[in-house]
Amino acid sequence: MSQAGPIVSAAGKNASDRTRPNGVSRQVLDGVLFDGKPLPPFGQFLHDVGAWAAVAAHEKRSLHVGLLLPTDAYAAVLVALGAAVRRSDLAPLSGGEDAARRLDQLSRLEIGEPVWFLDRGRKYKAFYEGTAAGSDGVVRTLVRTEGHGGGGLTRHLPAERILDVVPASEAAWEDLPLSQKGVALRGSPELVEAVFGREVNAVLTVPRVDAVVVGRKAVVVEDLDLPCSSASGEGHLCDLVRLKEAGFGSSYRSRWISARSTNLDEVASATHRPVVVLNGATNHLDGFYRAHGCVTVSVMGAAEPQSMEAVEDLQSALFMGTHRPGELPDGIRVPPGVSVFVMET
Amino acid sequence: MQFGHVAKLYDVAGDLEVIRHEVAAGLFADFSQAVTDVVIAAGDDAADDEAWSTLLRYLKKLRFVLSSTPLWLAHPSRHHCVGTLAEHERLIRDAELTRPAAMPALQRAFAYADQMHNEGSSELRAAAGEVMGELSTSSVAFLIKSPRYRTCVEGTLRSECGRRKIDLPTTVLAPSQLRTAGPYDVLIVFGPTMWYPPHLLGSPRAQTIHVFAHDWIRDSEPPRLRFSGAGGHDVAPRRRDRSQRRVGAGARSAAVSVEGSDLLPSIDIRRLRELSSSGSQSEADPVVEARVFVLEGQKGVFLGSDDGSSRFTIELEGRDASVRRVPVSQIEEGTFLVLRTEGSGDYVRTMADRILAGRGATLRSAQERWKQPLRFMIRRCGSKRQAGRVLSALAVPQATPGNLARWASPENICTQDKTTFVALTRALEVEYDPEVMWHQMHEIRAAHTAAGAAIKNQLLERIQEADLGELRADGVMTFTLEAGVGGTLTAFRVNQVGTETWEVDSSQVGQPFELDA
Repeated sequence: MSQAGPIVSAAGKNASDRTRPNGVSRQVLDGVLFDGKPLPPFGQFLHDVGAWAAVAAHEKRSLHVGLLLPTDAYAAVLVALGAAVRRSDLAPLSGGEDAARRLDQLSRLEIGEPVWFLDRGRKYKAFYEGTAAGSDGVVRTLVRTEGHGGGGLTRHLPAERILDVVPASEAAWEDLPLSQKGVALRGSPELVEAVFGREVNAVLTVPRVDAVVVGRKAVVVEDLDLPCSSASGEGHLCDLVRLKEAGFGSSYRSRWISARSTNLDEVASATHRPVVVLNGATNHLDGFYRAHGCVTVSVMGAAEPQSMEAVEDLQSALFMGTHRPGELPDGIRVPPGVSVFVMET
Repeated sequence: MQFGHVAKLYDVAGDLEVIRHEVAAGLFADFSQAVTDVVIAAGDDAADDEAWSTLLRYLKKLRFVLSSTPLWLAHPSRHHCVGTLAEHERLIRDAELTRPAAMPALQRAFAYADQMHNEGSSELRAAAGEVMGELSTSSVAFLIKSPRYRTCVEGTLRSECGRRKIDLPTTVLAPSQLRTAGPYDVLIVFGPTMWYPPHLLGSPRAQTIHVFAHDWIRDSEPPRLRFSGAGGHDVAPRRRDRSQRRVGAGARSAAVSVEGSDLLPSIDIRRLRELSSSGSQSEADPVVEARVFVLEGQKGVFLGSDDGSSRFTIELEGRDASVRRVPVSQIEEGTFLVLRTEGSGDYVRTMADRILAGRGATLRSAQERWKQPLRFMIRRCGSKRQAGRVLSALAVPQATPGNLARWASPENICTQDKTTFVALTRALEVEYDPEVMWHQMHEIRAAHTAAGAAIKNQLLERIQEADLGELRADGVMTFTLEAGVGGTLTAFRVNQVGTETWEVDSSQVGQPFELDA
C-alpha cells in the first residue's frame, strides 16, 4: 500500500486532451467510474467549476462563485477534486520551483523572524538571520536555532537545503511536510495514476495545498467514501481528493478547516493560494469576507436554512458596487434547477 | 446520502410535475367560515378572557388539523390531537356571560363541528386515497405541516391502503425532514404550499408532487430561491403544473376564502409578554435578556441571548449521533436542543451542586456576593453601557456591555481571568478576599465541568439505546438519566430562532412552555 502525500500534476497525458481554452478540463475523468457509473452531469458540472476556479487562482484572479444546488452532498469534494486535478496541470510542482519560491519567501522576512528548521527528521524552532557569502563566494542562508540554555547555533545552509527552512507564519499552508508519511491510500495506486496521469509516488509526495474545504469534517467524510474505479484500479474518492485536517506539516493537496479557524486568514495571505470551498451557507456567511482576495466557491443547498441569507449577502456585495459581476465560461454546463453567481472581487 | 440519490435529486430539480388537487368540502368550508366569524365577533381582547381564549384556540386548532391532515373529527385519535367537544360545555356557558353578542357565531361553529363529527369523513383522505390507488410506484412519501399528528396520519393512511387493497408505504414527513428526505417518485402534500418552505417546490424531493388543499384556502407559492440579476446564471427547471378539482361529499357553493397563513397556529405574543418580566427586579431572580426558540411540538423556550451560556445539543450525522455543548448563539434551526423537562432549573447546575455537596451552599453564596452588587450597579446606572463606563473608570478591564451581561447572568460562573475578577470585586467593594473568592469560583467551575461530562456521558449512553429515526421523524425525544444525574431531559428540534430580545426572569430561562395561540 502506498504512502500518501499530496496529489500532484497530471502531466502524463496530452494536455490538449485534458483541457479546453476556457480552462475547463473536460476529459480527465473519462473512463473513471463513480459508484460504478460515469460521473453524472451534476458531478461533471461541479468538477468543472473547481477546475475553472483553479485556473482563476493560478492566474491570481480574485473571484467568488456561489452555487445554489438541490443538495450540498458531494458538492464540496467534487469542486475540490476539479481544483486539485486542474491545478496540477497548470502548475506542476518541482523541487527547483519550490526552492525558488522558498528563497523568495525568506528574502521577504525581517532578520530575527521565527522560522522552523527541519533537520534529520526533527523540527526546531529557529530564527532567520539573513544571508551571507562564504569564503568560497557562495551565498548561504543563515538560521539560528534555539539552544536549551539560551543562545543557539547559527547554521549556514547551502541552496540545496533551503526547503528545510520554513517561515513560521506561512508554514501551515504551503510548506514542507514534517515527514513524507501520510494516510495510506485506501485504494490502488493505479486509480490515482489514471486520474492524474503520473506515477503515483510523484503524485503523492509533493507538498502543496490546492483546495481548502471550509466546514465541518463530519459533513464530508461520508462523501469521501464514494467508490471510484478506472480500468486499471479501484479506490475511493478520498484517494483522489486527499483531504486532511489543517495543521502544520501535513502533506496534503486539499484540507478542511473550520470557518472560525484562524487558518482561514492564513489561506488568504498565502503565496500559493488554494481554491477555497465554503461548504454550506453557514460557512459561507462565516468565511466569505475572511477569505477575501482568494478564489472562493460557496456550495449551498437550496434547502439549507441560511441559504437565503447567504444569497442576499452575495447579491448585496455586488449592489454595493465594490465588486463586479463575472461570467461563467461557455464550457460549463449548468444543470437545470441550479443557480450560479459569479463575482470578481 | 447515496451518490445515485444525489444524481436523482438533480434530475428531479430540473424536471418537476406539480398536480394541485383543489378539494371542495362544503361542511368544512362552512365551519371554517363560522370560525372566522366567531374570531371577529369575539374581538381582539377575547385573548384576555380565559373561556374565550380557550374556545378560540380549540376551534382554530380544529380547523388547522382538519385542513392540514387527512384526519376527520370522529377519528379515534382526535382526542390526542385536539380535545373533545364535551370538554368545552362549561367554557361555553362561561363565554356567554362575557360576550353574549358573539354567542350565535360560536354556537354556529360548534353546530358545524357536531355535524362533521356525525359525518365522520375527511375529504382530504378521500381525495388522496383516489390518487394513492392510481399510483404505479411504491416510492411514495406524505408530507404534513405539523409532525405531532404523524402517528395518527400514518394510521389513517394505512387503513386507507387496506380499504383500497393497495400496498403502499405510509412514510409521513415533517417539513424539517424535507432537507434530507428522498428522492421519491411521488410526494403527497397535505395543505397549501405556502405552509411549507420554498424548497418544497424550488428544490424538490420527488419527481411528482401532489398537493391536496381545500378549495377555500388561498395559496401563494413562495418564489424559488435563486441568484438573480447581474452575476447570476440560472437555468430554470422544467416544470409542469396542472390542477384538478375534487368534489367531496356534501360540497356546496364555495364559502369565503381564507388566507392559508391565517390558518396556522401562531406564536402567542401575549403569552410571551406575560412571561417577559420587564417589571421584575428581584435580587434572587434577576432579569436577563433572552431570545425565544420555537421548538417541535409548538413549544418555546427562552435562552440567554448574550450571556455566553451554552447548552447541550444532539447532532445527528448519518446513523451516528453526538452530544455537544454549544454556545446559545450557535444554536440554529434544525439543531436538537436538550432541555430539562422534569424538575426545574439548569440541569448542569443542579448536578454541579450535587458534586459540591456540603460546600455548595457556601460557594453559591460566595458567587452571589459579587454578582448581586454587579446587578445592582447595572440597574443603578440604567444600562450596561453606562455601568461599563463606570467600571472601566475604576480600572476594571474588559468591562464591555456584553461582558457585563455575561458576568451578571446566573448561567455564568465568573470572569475568565483572575486580574479582571480581582479588579471587578474591588470596584464593587465586595468585602471579601478576592483571592479566596477566585478559588471558590474555580471550585464551582470544576464542578460544572464534571457535571457536564457526567451528563454528556449519560446522554450518549441513552442515545446509543434510542431509535434515532424516531428522533429525526418526531423531532422530540425524552431521555431519563440515572437518579442523581439529571432527571428527565428532552431533545427538541429547534424550528425557529427568534430575533427579538425579551427580558425574562432568569428562572424562566431553559424552561419549555406552550406556544399555541
